Amino acid sequence: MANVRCPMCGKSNPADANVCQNCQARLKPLTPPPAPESTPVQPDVESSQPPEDSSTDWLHGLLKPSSASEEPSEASLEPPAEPSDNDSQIQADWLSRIRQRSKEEQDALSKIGTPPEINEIPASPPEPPNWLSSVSDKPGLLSSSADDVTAWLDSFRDRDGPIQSSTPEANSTPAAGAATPSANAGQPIAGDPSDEEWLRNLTAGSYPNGLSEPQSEIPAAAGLPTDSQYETDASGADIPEWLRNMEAPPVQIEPPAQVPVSDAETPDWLTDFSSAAPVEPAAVPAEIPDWLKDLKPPTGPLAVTEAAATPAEEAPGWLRDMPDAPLQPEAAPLEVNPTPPASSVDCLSEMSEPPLEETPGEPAAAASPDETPGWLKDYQQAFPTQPAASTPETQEPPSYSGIEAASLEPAASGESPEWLKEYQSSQLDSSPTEPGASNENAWINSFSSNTPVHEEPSAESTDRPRAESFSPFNEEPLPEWMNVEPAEPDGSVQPFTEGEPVPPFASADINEVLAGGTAEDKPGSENTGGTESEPLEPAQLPNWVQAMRPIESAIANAPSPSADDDQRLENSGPLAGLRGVLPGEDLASQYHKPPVYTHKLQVSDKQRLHTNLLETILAGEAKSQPVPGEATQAPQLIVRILVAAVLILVVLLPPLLGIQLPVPANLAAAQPAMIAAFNSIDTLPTGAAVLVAADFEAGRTGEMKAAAEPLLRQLQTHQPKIVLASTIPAGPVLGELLLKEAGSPPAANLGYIAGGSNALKIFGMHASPELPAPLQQAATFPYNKEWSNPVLHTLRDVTSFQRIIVLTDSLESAQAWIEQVQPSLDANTQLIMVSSAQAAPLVRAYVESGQVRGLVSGLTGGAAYEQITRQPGIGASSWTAYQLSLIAVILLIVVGGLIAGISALFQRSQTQRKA
Amino acid sequence: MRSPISTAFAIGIGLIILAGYFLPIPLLGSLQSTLLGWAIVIAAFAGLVGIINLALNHWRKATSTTQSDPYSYIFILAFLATLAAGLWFGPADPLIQQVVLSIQIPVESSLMAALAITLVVAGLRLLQRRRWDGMAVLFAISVVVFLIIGSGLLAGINLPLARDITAFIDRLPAAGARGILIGVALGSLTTGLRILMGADRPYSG
Repeated sequence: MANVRCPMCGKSNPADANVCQNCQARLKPLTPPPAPESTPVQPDVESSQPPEDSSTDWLHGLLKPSSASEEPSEASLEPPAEPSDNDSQIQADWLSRIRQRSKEEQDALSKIGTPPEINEIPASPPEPPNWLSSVSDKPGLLSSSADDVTAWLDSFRDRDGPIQSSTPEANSTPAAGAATPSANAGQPIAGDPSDEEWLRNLTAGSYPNGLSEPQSEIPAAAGLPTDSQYETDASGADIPEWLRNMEAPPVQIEPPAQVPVSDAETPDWLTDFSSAAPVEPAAVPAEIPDWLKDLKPPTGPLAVTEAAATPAEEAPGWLRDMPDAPLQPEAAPLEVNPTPPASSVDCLSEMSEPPLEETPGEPAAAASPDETPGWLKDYQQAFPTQPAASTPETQEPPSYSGIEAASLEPAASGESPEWLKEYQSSQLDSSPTEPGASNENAWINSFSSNTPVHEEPSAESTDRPRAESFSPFNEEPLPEWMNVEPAEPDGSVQPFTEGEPVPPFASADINEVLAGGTAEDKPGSENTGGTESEPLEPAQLPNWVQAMRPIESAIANAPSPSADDDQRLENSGPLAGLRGVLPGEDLASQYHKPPVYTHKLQVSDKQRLHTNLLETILAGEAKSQPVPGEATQAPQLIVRILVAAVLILVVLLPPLLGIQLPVPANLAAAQPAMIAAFNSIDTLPTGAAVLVAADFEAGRTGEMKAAAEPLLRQLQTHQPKIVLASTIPAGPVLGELLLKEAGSPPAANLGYIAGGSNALKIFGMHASPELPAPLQQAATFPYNKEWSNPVLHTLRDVTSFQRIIVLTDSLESAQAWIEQVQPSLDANTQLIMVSSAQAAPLVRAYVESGQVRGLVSGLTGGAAYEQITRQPGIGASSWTAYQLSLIAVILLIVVGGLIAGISALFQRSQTQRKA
Repeated sequence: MRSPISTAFAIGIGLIILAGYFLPIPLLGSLQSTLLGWAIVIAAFAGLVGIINLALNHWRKATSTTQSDPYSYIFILAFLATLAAGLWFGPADPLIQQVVLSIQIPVESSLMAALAITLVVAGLRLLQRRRWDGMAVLFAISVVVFLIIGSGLLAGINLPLARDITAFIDRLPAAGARGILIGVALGSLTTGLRILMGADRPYSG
């Protein structure tokens, strides 16, 4: 036997192994291999279909809890991992049990009597199965009493009236609602006649609004929820708790992510139910009458659930047109509640108030003619239009493939019901415009379409007989939404031969047909009015379904920048395959780079020009003016040497060479101050006291000697009593030397008068009682005489001197004598100044003011004085050198200026040439 | 106020001396003469302090280990010799006068001669550096003119116009000198007033 290679890990496993020994991955697909006699399985769903043998295990798990409902095993929650080896034996086993139960039901129905006469239904139905008893043990759950059955039948009578006339307890109480769909689904598994109670509760208010009375009298049909009921449940507090919880996770299932539907193993009625039960895909009754299978849930939720069980591309058009969010196949409940039928009993026991009307397939009892309950057969006989004969002999237990995916492995017999095959054949062979088909399509479409069909019963449905308008078992072809042509692997359509024994559960073909029919139900739904070209009215979700929609869909119309992002498909992670699960706001797109604001000033051209000008000015201020440097130090030194040599030569050459320039004859005449000094000395009385102030420096001795010597010589002619004083430390010595050279030594040398102008102030004060000897006070210690000396004893103040001759070479000294002493002089005392040529211009001002009587300045003054006294002296002898040197200096300055000018002209011309 | 006592003392003495010039009050004259006598003594002592400070500075330079100046030794020796000779012989002694005549006058006269040459060179390069600046040209022209006038070259010109021009040019320095003297007088007056008002306190250090 060839080994089977694991598609997951690649390891080889025995051919008969269903699970990989290495990775525990399933080796065999869930879809059972096509039966030789049945239609081949559709290739695209082949891998997703559970194996046939697994359905038997599932049935085991489904049936076991029914018998021992109080011990729901955890293993039953999981899909059977290992199929049994003897599938036929197991199948026969559970079929036998189903037949047995069907018989019991039939007996119960026979006791009741004719189905329309619900009052004749036996009051004491058989004991409910254990699983149902466990459900009824819950407060408010099903009651198994005969009275309840009678009440249930009474409710059927009341079906003639409006649906709303049903007792509210039937909708609200758990007994009426049979808890959750799972709970309801678990009930028919037993196929026990006690299901009547369950059915009665279902019929309390679960049929569509527009259905006729027979429709309401059929338990299976009554068990199907209607739009109105859904709306009623969703409109207020009637919404069951489990349904409210479902509103929270609006999950969209991507078609590839959907759990493959085991169409082959799913009975049609359960498929319909699965489409009607969006939430709790509980255990579907294993035995459901065919007529119940054909009941297409007319409500939106049914279609939605069916769409959930089928791939997205197979969803009906009316479902596609609906808002996607709430209508998307609900994967969450499938994954959250992967409870197999067996465990659904527990779910039932745990759930408190599930609506009974949402139990999809509770009237299970989808059995073959042999398994059809008696009451149902009676009912069928009473209404021969119902295709009761089309009920297959064998009926697969309800599959959860429409509800649960891979976790559940519904039973699949691989055979379609006969009525379905007929329907398929009729759909294949007949055109959709056949009268009967059109009627049936209209009827089915009224179920499959949305609320308008059920909220407003069409005239056709009301006009038709009740059974005809309701029962799907008539001979009329099935509606288009069920008219799906199961595709052959090779693309061909498997023909359907009427009369051929076909298993009631046509394995994958049925589901495929149903799925395809569902997919093609859209056009069929559109043709509800009888015209194929007429577009189907857009489906409208009931309120409770709309309430289940995720908030994103509720605000879908709101402008949201991330509306497109919400539809993104998750590619990885635990949410892979889901669309719009996570908020799709693209946060990154909401953040933008902050705008960049320029820091540049908006400056006009004029302002920029001014700014540049200011910057230029400031830069120029900071720059130091370059000083044109000298080319070399040699020219400077040479110039200095040349200048010195010229001056020295000019001074030395005349005396050496005997060159003598004559003193101008009118030189003295040009110096009136000198003449005034000469006159003052000339008028000096003989033996008068004369004060000579020698306030000059040793460096000016030559000039001062040339200027003062002619005056002192003239003074000596008057034999004055000369008193020498000085405000300069070296003055007394220089004065004494000068006087000695002039031939008139001083009689007394008062020495240095310290204190400057202050001392001259005291020196110039008049003698007074307070200051009897200011001269003595100013010059306390004469150099060569004492104040007690008769020469000095007669001197009291400055007025004691007839002449005051100040030999000065500076303006300050002359000013001190003039400002401090001269004011104290009287008319007998005259102030004569002998100054250097430097101080002469300033002293001349005092001469012109009369404060100084005469002025002899410089060599020129001495030469002029000699000229007047006619005693040549130093002035005359130095006149030549003096004039020549001055002329040389003048020439040097002029020549230097000319050279500089010429060089500047040359440089400018060179610059112009270069430019 | 910084050193208020000295400031008040200076202002008070100044006001007394100033009042002695304008008010014929014997007391003010006596105070004036007394205060001026004190000033003369202080000034003389200040001269002595200056001489001592100069001698100490040269002593520090001479005894410095890093920058020893040999001229400081010469100064110190000359100072001590002159001081000793002056104290011993007195300033009127012919020996002291000969020292001054043989040393001080030639040295200072030589410095004046060197100054004359330096000034001539500066005059020669005046226009070269100043690039014929207006003030430079004016200064150069003034120097030349006053040299010519001071040299007496124009004195020999016995022309009426030349004599008038010479007299005019000769009076120009006098005019300028008067302006300088007036400015100096105003400056001295302002300085005296500021001192009396305490605005200037040169005595505060």
